[in-house]
Amino acid sequence: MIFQDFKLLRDRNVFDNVAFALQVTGAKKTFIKRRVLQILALVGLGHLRNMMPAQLSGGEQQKVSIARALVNQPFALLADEPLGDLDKNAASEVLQLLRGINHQGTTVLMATHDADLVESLPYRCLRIERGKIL
Amino acid sequence: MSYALKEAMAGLGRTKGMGLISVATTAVSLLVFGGLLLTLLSLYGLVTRVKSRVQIEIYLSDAANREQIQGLKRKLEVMPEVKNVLYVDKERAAVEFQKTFGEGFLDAVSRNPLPASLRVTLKSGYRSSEKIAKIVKAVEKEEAVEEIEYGRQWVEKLDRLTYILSVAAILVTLVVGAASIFVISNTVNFTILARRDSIEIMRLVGATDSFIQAPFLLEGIIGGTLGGAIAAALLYLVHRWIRLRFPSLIFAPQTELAAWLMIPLGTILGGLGSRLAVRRVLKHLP
Repeated sequence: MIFQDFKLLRDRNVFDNVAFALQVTGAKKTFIKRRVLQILALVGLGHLRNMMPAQLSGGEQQKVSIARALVNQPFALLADEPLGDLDKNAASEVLQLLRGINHQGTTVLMATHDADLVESLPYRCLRIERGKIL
Repeated sequence: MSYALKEAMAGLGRTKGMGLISVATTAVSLLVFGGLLLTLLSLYGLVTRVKSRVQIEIYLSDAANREQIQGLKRKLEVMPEVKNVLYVDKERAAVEFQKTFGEGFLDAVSRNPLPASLRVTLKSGYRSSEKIAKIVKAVEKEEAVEEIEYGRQWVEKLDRLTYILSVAAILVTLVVGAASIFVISNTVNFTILARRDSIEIMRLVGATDSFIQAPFLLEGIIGGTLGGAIAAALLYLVHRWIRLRFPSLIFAPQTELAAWLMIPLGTILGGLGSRLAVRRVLKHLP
């Protein structure tokens, strides 16, 4: 799951933020290290692994949160307004990343208020109004 | 477990200032609490020591015969309050008198005017005016008894002092102890509330409550133990200094033990405080 406001642990670095999702599952240290580096490379953040969240741009922080969501190899990724707090360039990069993840076989369910964005994408769209699917 | 310990150490480092404040608050609170407790224990020790000198002197009539004196001695010895009974004959009384008041006084009189006596020492739990009065009452009508002396006013004063000190010790333990618990748990609570967001995120990422709690609990235990150790070390040093400087002032051997007691107390308060605080945060999360 990823959020509009990223929800990263502000007191630990990029690597530790992603590693935390594996630590809670009781995974082994060596496995965690290998897997976190793999996933950070996938989202293009390997070089920023020692940075703190506050030192990153919004787009980079969202990519960290995507890496954290993906590190446990989920079959589906729930994204709650993942582009909401990002500027145009960063939003486009994160969107590309989500599309890439989808192409690799992970279902991505994204919630957004941006009607233009929805229309520009070739994916199945569900419209919700007052809690009801239209 | 190793994860929790690593996280706890990292947590103390991450919060920097707050971790330090938490340790310092624990140290100061326990220092105040321990200091008061130590002072009271020392005073209590002093009074107990003075009380151990409480004796009943039963002066015997010159007319009393050997059987009467033996009978009285046996009667006293079987009493549960009595530790031992010493027979001081006229000659020994004279020697003791001369030791205290100097030779020459007794030379003025032709025969030894000092009476023989039975010196009664009491067991430690029975050195109160009430118990003494009971013993006095039981033997004062005996034929061999001339007079009984035990420094009644003194013993009553000591009784009162013991009572006041006991009440003060209980009050200090309760009031200052409760205040220390309040201050320490609030500081720990404060350091954990500051990381409320982190706790919320940990849960969102899928951590179980016990997984979240473990590092905080250990952090509280380490911080509390550290604070307790600082308080204990300072108390011990002050205690030692006073002991060397004023050797007659501190008598109770348990005072030193009370100083070291601050370490487990810090551990328990730190651990309990952080456990309650994290649980409170977790309970209020959606």
